Amino acid sequence: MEYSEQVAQGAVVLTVNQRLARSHLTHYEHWQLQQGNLWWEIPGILPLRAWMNALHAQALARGDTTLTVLPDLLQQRAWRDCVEQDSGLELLLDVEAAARGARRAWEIACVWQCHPLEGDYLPRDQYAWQRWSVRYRRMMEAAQWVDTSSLADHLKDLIIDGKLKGLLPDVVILDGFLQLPPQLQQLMDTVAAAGTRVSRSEPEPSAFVHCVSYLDDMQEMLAIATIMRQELESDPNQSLGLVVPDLQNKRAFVLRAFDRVFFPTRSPLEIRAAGRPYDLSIGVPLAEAPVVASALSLLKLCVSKLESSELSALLLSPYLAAATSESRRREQMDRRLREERVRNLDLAGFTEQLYSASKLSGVLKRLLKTRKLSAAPLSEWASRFSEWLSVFGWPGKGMESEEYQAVSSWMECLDNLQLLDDGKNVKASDAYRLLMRLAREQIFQLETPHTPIQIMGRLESHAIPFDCLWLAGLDTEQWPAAGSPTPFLPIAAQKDAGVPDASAAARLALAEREFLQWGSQAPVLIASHVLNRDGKELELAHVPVIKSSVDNEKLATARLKTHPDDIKLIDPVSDIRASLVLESVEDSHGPGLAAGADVRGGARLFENQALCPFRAFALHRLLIRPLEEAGLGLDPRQHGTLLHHVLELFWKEIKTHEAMQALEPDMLDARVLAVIDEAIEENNVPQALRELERVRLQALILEWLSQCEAPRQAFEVVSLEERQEIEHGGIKMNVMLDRIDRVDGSLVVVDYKTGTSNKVNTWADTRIVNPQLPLYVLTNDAIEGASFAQVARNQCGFKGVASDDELLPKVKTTVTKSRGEQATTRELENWSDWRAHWQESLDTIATEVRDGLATVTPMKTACLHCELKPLCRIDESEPLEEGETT
Amino acid sequence: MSAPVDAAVRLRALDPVTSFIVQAPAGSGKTELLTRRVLTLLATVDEPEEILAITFTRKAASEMRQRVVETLQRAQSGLAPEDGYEAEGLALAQSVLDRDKQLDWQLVRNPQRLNLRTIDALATQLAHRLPVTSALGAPTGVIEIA
Repeated sequence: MEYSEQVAQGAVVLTVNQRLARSHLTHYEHWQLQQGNLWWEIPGILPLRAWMNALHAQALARGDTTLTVLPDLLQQRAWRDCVEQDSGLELLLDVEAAARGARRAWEIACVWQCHPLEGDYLPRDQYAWQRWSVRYRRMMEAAQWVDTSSLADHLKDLIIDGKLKGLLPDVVILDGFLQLPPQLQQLMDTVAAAGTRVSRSEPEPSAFVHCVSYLDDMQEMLAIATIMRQELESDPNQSLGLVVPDLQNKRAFVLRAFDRVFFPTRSPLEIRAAGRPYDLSIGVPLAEAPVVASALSLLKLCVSKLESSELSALLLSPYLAAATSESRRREQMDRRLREERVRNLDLAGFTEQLYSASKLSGVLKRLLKTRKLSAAPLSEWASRFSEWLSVFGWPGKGMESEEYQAVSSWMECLDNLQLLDDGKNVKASDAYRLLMRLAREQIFQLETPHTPIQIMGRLESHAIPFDCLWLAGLDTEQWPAAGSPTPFLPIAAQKDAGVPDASAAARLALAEREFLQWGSQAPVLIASHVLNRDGKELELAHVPVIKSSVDNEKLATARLKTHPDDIKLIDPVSDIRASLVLESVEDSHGPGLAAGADVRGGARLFENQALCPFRAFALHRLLIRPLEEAGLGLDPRQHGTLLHHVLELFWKEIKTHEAMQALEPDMLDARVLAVIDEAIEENNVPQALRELERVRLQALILEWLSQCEAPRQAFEVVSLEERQEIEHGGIKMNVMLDRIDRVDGSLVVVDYKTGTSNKVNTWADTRIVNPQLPLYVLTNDAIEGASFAQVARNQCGFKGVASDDELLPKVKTTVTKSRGEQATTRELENWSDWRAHWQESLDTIATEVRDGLATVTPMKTACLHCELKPLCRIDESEPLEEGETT
Repeated sequence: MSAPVDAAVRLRALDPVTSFIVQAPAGSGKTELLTRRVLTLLATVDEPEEILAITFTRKAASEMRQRVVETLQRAQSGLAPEDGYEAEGLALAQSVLDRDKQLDWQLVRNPQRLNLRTIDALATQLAHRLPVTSALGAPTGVIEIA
């Protein structure tokens, strides 16, 4: 719409939202420049809400009114108080959300003039709201407040009373309103009656509408981005609009699709530096902006504790003092905390854990002494919080524009905290929680220079002119949008009042007006929908027909001609990959091992080499260690160590099967408990877990002894937890052997396992993933059997192979080989077959290790729990097409 | 589909004042029967929202909705039915179209008015409508995989 001339003559344009006002302002500036003007008066172009607030402020200043406007923040607080103080109510799970819902109902009641009649029977939920709203109104009256929902009514009353004379403009133009709810309509009628000429722009749809469909949401978004990129490349001076319903929830999805198309090869940091030519109308919660997330973490550390993942994030944060100069040491501290399985730390603990000579040590020690945690009013908390942050050196140096904007927004958040100060003392944790909530509720919208592509939600899109406007997701499921009427007002009353959320007919009418509005914003309208979402088949929504003008049809034909007819499976990243000319470099080996060189890892090295040569190379040659993660209780490794220790202590004393059988049951119980206590003590099990471990181990060990050891034929334990240096294929290693028993003159080696996934047929594989016992067996000809001892509740048992079926229960001379290609083809009928197979298999592995073989060729299950995937990038390598060779 | 041998039973199952349990093998036309029952009911109500149909999956709900709308569109198109069984269905649809016109429902343009949903969606809707009674205070999100 062209208003510039009228605006220059003093007309005031009131828009439906800020975005539209900004668009009109830009347009007006261009118009003035075109007129050859170098200066002009500030034009009256502003959102209707802002105009009402300004009008009220003027009225207040000259004494036309005594009521003050209650800020948004305090409105929420007031509703919360009303809900909380309602004695007729048991506890609600989420009072804050109930207050939000109640406030929304109040807004609907005011704007749509839909107040339930006094004395009407109301169901429980609505009756509760009525009590709250009576209280709320009393509160407003007593404090002489007017809120944003009732401001229009107040202004109307003032005009009727003959106030506001001279404050109303001569001409008012309303723009971008699909509908005027009764409250605003009455205000405008009153303004008109007072002598102002009020007009409302009516959309004049004449766009050419073009409909397209795509397979699914991802394809749709990629196609839109691709076409828009092409459009911009052919003419960078145009404005393209994209409306995405439910943009609030799809923000990340849309941004990812556009980034993938516009910057297929760049990292997020590079994209930010380059600047995106598109801008999203909906921001993110301030608490999610990285610099603010760091601030919230730091404050949490000061008032309570940080969990392990938060500690990591904090240590790696660039927004702390000396973040760059101490970055290595902070990474190391992160690793150390993980390895020590520190689950949480408070400020004192954190300061203690700091590495020596950190720039933070001194200041934090001082902060520990000086920080005040006593209950205080909120404004006091706001200043304490900012003081603490500056001690940490937050927000660091060298902020970029985005960070700078986030920090300013954060300052507003702290100001808001002060605004909520009602003089009462608040505890540290409550003050922190409140600040956290404010930061979550504050939407951080990055201010970018004007971009050629604007991506908007439905509500922000109305009345802004474009060269081409794209409506995405226009299917029967999303358009007209589903309504969610407020549960606090009678549905029938809402329907009668015409609240769109409560009436399907009103929603449809509104949606159709919206489409006509869009049809008047650009010469070309592209409406797209997807055929499939979550397995549901979708159709194009039934949009009203727009008769396009001849000019627009021509424009559309020219524009659409350049669009590809058939966009199938667009993915620019794979496109780029497909078009690359690749040079092949054979990179299967690292440096070989020099003769006699020391390589650590022992049996683990053989295990990892068998699982995946690259894994062995990374872990044992490059010495890469994955980051640990602290969980609840003991980890599987600690559980294993503890169990080994208990059984070692037990057999050290009892020594033979005969001695064990000679023990009376209660003596056995007592013995077991004694060794458990000793092991728990020596392993420094945390106090909180001791009783639990005691109960768990007692049941487990007794089950193991009675079910698996007792039924055995007589044996003697000859070696326990013995460390031995052995060698295989030129690789020396230390092996810790759990136990060797002598049974009937033969030796058998036993390996305790606490897990339940031990398969003895893996010993029959060409690559042995459990090589410890085979490695040891080969060093001693006297050994006649090898077995896992699986010590696990309800699944205890020996699993192994031996020269004789009688040596261990259920341990045979052979096993059923695993199916598939991983088993050896060699016959494995007797003990010497096994020895020969192990010798051969382990020799192959040893040769690989010596040669430095490091191919990414994992066995089937090797990747399941492997943390090295970002390093070997196995997920990125695409399977070769059939017939293709390297 | 030509006129089924059990046409009489199918017709009886459309009686809106009686309740039925329909058990039949796959492909025998249960959904069609349900669609017709919805159409029969639609011809008797003031607002389409008064009828609730619950399906097991979201996909089934969306298919059901599509089926109803397609039948209405087919009736609207005025094309001759292929057989007597289809003619019955189109007759039902026609009476719904009449009612739609009389009460200005705009069902074809606004198919979301058909209250066809999963049991979970119904439960969520009830929780939305009863923030105090449910003691939740507000509509809560639903975790898909808990």
